[in-house]
Amino acid sequence: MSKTILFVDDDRDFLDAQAAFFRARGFVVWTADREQEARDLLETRSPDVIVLDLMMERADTGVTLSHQIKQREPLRKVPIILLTGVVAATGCRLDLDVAALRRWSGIDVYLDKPVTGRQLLRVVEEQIARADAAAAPEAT
Amino acid sequence: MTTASVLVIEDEYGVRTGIEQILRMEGHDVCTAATAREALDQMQSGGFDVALIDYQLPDVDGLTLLHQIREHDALTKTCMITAYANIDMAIAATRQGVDFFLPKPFTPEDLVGVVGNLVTRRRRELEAAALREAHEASLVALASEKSQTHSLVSCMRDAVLVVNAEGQVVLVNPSMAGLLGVEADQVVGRPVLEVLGTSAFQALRDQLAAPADRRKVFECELGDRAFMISVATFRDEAGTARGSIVTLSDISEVRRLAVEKSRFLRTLVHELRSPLGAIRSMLEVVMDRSLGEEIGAYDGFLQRADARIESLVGMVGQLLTLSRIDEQGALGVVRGVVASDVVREVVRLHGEQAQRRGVTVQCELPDRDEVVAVGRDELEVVLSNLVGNAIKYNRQGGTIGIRVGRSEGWLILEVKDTGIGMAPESVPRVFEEFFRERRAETRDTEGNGLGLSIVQRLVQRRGGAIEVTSVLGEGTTFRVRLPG
Repeated sequence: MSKTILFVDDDRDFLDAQAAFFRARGFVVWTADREQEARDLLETRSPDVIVLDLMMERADTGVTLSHQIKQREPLRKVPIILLTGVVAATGCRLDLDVAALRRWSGIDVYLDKPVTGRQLLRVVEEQIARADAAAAPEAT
Repeated sequence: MTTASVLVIEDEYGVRTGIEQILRMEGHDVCTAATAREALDQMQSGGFDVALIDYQLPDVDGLTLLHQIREHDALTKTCMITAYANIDMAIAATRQGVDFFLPKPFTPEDLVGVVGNLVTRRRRELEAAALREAHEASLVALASEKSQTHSLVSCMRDAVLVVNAEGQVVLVNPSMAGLLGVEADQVVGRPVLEVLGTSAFQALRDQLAAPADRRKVFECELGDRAFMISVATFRDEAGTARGSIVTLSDISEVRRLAVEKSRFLRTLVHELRSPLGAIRSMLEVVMDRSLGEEIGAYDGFLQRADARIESLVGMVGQLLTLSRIDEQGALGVVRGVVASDVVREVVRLHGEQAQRRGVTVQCELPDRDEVVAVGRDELEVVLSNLVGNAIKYNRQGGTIGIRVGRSEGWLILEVKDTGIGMAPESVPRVFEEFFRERRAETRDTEGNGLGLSIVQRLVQRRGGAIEVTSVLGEGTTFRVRLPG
């Protein structure tokens, strides 16, 4: 069965290009270019992995969204990859202790932008494999 | 033997010529006078080292003449010659400042000895006077130098404090007094460790209490200002600290600029990374053949990549404009341009864009030609940005009002739109480089947040100002004031 991936980023060009790249590799891709759109989507769907942009409507969109996702039971174990421009540059919460921020947000991987589809693909596959492995004992 | 000029005042012919001959033989220049009148006449042509005065003269008495001689030159050595020495006369003469008495009769040796003695005294006194004069002159010079140094230190913007070997404050200049919030004379003489009591000065106190180096420089924060503190410690030959000069330079502005620069660079990096990331992803789709072998399938991505590159090129151009404006700084006089002409031209250039959005442009221009003292290109850039924004951020079918007027000698340009407006917290930031309001209404509007930065700097460089007022959902008004 195809793996599902949700991309959340306010750059429509980036979003569409990633969608094309991942679809070509057999993924089912959902995209959202607004925070609310992402939330609405997650009401009904549970992707295998989520890729979030750090800055959207607010400087800490990615972090807050991740925190909210990790609070919800069906989504709690979905790996989240955060794409970030400059972590320190964004101010707000991100000037806080990074370790504390990681715990609070539950983000699994931080990747610096710009990132290539290939780099992202490798990380996405790793994360899915890790999540699958963690879920496997429960299934048996 | 030193020779001298001697004036002999003696009414007795024999005695006068006798004295004259003896002194001439000793090598002195001798002038003679038989009366006080003659003596005073002689003195008009020059001073004498020594005056020998007979007490009893035909016209005035010796004491009066003595007084007159001393009036003429206080350093002339005087000697009274008298056959009738009495104590009253001696006291009176001494009061008048006579230097010696030579009672008659006297031997040639007595005379030579007395005159020699007086000449030596005269020389010594002259030397002393010269020395005193030189000393006084240098004291005056010193005093004026001191006052120059003092006024120099007083008007320095840097705060200066001088401490002596005992750790007492010797001098604070007005800047330092202001910084410490005290009057200068309140702290002079007080222990410096007490004067610089606040915790912010801990490092400075440590250095003053135990000066380690000849010169030490460090930074400190005082309230909302940052200072660079420099402590120069003076040492004598034995290496003992004799005192220190503390200088505080306000580096808040330097720091602010450094912070601003690094923030600008970080924002710039972010602004470059986003489009570069998008372009790269879109090209990757093509290289990866994600959409299959049919080249036409990639047209959309290629066009979008091209558009992103074009806007990057535009942004780089605007950054260059910004840096040029900053580098050029203040400009000389320009010929000036008729504001209304430029307004009409800019409105014409934006006609199509306005029409597409159904935006109506209304101009309120003065009857007479109002000339504004800026370059035509500059005014075009300013107006193009303001009008362009007024169209972009307007609502469909909205209006733009452009007004040119004059107020207190300034030329006023107003561009008012009926658009989406700005949130109150965004208004003060609107001139910041790369600032764009992130809102649902603005997300599909092209822009890099540099236009208004350029406008503001152009206007300010010409000595003008730009203000903005905005009501969310109702519209925004930019008001530019330029020298007319």
